[in-house]
Order: sequence, then C-alpha cells, then structure tokens
Amino acid sequence: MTVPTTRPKKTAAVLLAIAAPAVVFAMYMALIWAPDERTLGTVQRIFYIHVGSAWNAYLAFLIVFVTSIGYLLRRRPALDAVAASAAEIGILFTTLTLATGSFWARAVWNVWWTWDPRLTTTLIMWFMYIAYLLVRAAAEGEERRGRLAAVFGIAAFATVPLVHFSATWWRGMHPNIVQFQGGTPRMNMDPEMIVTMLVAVAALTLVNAALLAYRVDLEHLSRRVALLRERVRLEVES
Amino acid sequence: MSWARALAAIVWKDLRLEWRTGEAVLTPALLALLLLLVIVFALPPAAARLEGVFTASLWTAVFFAGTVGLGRSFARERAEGRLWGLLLAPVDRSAIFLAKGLSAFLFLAMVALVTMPAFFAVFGQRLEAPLWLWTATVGLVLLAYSGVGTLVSAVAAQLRAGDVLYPVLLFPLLVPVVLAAVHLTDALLETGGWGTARSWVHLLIMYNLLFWGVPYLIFEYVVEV
Repeated sequence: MTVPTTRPKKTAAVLLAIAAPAVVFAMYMALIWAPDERTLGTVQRIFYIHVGSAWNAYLAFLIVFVTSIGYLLRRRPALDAVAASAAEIGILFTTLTLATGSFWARAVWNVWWTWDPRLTTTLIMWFMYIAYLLVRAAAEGEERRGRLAAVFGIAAFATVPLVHFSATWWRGMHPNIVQFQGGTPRMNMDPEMIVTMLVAVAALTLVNAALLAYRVDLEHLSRRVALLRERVRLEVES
Repeated sequence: MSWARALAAIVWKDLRLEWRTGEAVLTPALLALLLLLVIVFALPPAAARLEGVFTASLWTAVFFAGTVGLGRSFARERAEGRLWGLLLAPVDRSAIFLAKGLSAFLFLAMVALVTMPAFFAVFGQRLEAPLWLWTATVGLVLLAYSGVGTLVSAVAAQLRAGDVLYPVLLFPLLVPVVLAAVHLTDALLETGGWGTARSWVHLLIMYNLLFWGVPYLIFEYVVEV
C-alpha cells in the first residue's frame, strides 16, 4: 500500500495572505466609507457581510455539486475531498447568512425570525447540507462514502436555486435588491453601496478560497493518517 | 428481458410482497391513524375547528407515516442479498429505480386512500373542491414524495444506522413538497380550486421532473455493489 504525499500548503497560505487584508479593506468600506442608508441608518451595513456570506454559501454548494458529478464520473478521491470541504464551508457561510439576517431582522422587522419564503428556504438549505455531512459520517468505506455523498450532494443542490428564486416567486418580505427588468439587471442602490457590496463579496470569496484550500489540505492529511494507521496495523498483525 | 417487462416484474414483486407482509401499507396507515388520535388529543378542543388545523394535521400525519414504509423500500432489498439479484439482472438499472419509485407511489396512494377519509370525518371537514381536483393534487404531492423518498431510501439503505437517519435525510428535501401540499390543500378547502396557490403546482411539477429525472440518470451510481 502506498501512502500519497500531501501537497505543500503554499496555495492556502498565499490565499490567506491576500484574503486577510482584503477583508480588512472590505470592512473599512462597509463600516466607514459607504453612506448611511436613508431609512434604516447604520444597521443596513450588515447587508454587505450578509450578501457576501450568502453568495459564498451558493458558491460553496455549487462546488459540492460540480465536484460530486466529477467524482461519480472520474472516481478521483481528490474531488471527493473538495466536495467534503466545500460542504462544511458552505454550512459556515449559510450560518453566517442566517445569523446576520437575524440581526438585521431584529433591528428592521422587530423579530429575530419570520417564516418568509427566502428565510425558510435558506433554513432548508442549511438542514440539507447538515444531512449531507450525516451521510458522510454514516457511510462505511472510502469508496462508498464518496459515491453516496456525491449522489446526495447532487440532489441537495436542488435547494440552492429554490433559495435564490424564492424571493421573486413568492413575494415575501425579504428585500430583493437586484431586480431584472426585461433581462437587464437593475440595482436599487446608491453606486457607492454597490461598489462596497462588490468589494465585500470579493473579499469573502477570497476567504472562501483560502478556507477551502486549508480544509482540502486537512482532508488529505487525515486520509494520509488513516492510511498510515492501517499500514501500522497490518505490520503489527503480520 | 425488456426494460418495461423488468419494471413490471419488480413492481409486481413488491405488490405481492406487500400483500403477504403488509409492511409498506398497513403499518404506515395504522401509524397515520394513531397520529390522528395523538394530534386530536394534543389539540385544545376548540382548536380542532380552527382554519388550517385540519390541513396541518392531515399532512403531518401522512408525511410522517409515509417515512415508515418508504424507508424500508430499499432496506428490504438488502436482506438476503436481494439487491444483488436485482443488479445482476441484465436490464438497465434505471428500471430498478423507476419500479421501486412506482411501487412506493402505489403504497403511499393506498395509505392516503385508507386514512384521508378518517381525517375528514374526525375534523368534520367538508371537501368543497371537485374530487378529481383533490385526487390530482394529492397524486402530485405523493408522486413527488415517492420520487424523493425512493432516492433517499436507496442512499440510506447503504449507511450505518440508515433506518434511523432516513427521516433526517429525507425531510430537508421534502419540505418544499410539504409547503406545496399545505398551500394547495388550504386553497382547495377555501375556494374549491387552486386559485392563487397555482404557483405551488408548478413547484410540484418541477420537483417531480427533478426527482424522477435525476435519479433516473444517476441511479447506476447509487446502487453499485
């Protein structure tokens, strides 16, 4: 049995070195530089982190979806490792989205939670990927775990467009900033706010990438440990 | 053996097995009726006549009772290597998924047929909508339920403690179907038609296409031995 060597951690470190100052800069723009919202005031600044987290939750789950399809077709353990890592990061960003949304709702709607379509579907998406991790935890054998998780990861992605389009389909109370008029996107926002939002999204995407790189390295390490342990066990027994 | 004959053979096998054991229809139906009792006793007496309570009770019972039968759909095939027998058959594996889904749908429909009249009777609810519209709505809901349920059942059957995990894995995927069922039922009871709840029918159709179509394509990966 050969034990594969792990890749050097350079990618992760480089990504972190870019992501950290980017986040500081995005926070400066979101908290200080961007103008106050006319009616909501300073509370609206949660919006930048909220949108950034939501976008990255989608992105992480898209990575789960794509690598799951790839794993079923190619059977490369590395793809499974990326899917497992991205699912955890997606749950993290969904949790952040729900938490920041909840703070905003407390300030603006005067409730911590309401059963608005977008909130409800986001919560479903959160449960969905918790279930994905349960599948991973309960499957025995690396091949079977990868295969069943991939099947579930593909099915789970059905909840993502549901979250995204819920606000337009069912007209809840969740604000819908980007609206489409005859195919062209129109943002009901101050230009400075749009820039801040884009910077926040970009910065959190870098965080997403750095986390993913670290988490994938960790996954490879843990698989290596498992293989080494197995080898030791075989040697002790023989 | 042709694809259609393989499909029919598996459905026929499931129906015969059900006739002899009663575990996919009788047990869930009994559970649904027991849930009806529990719900009625748990509600304050006046609440049973409130709007929406009937809908909530009906679908809570049907969805939860359904997991008992659906969860066994593939777990049953694990015993004595029956799944091996199915996989060794020289037919496209999509036939196995469609057959299991179809028999799951038939079982759910039978459970609904047996238990739903009891719910109408106990809550004193009258059905204003035409019967065909009600049947079509319930049919769409149960079809989506059996599609999702069969896929998750195939995954859960291969997991450690899959029986226990089954409902936890199933319900996140099923919540949109539950929402559609509740909204459509309320609309049918109030107005006698789908009315403004029509968008939920679209969601159900989309869900059906998705969860019958995708497993159809990837099923051979689900049941590899």
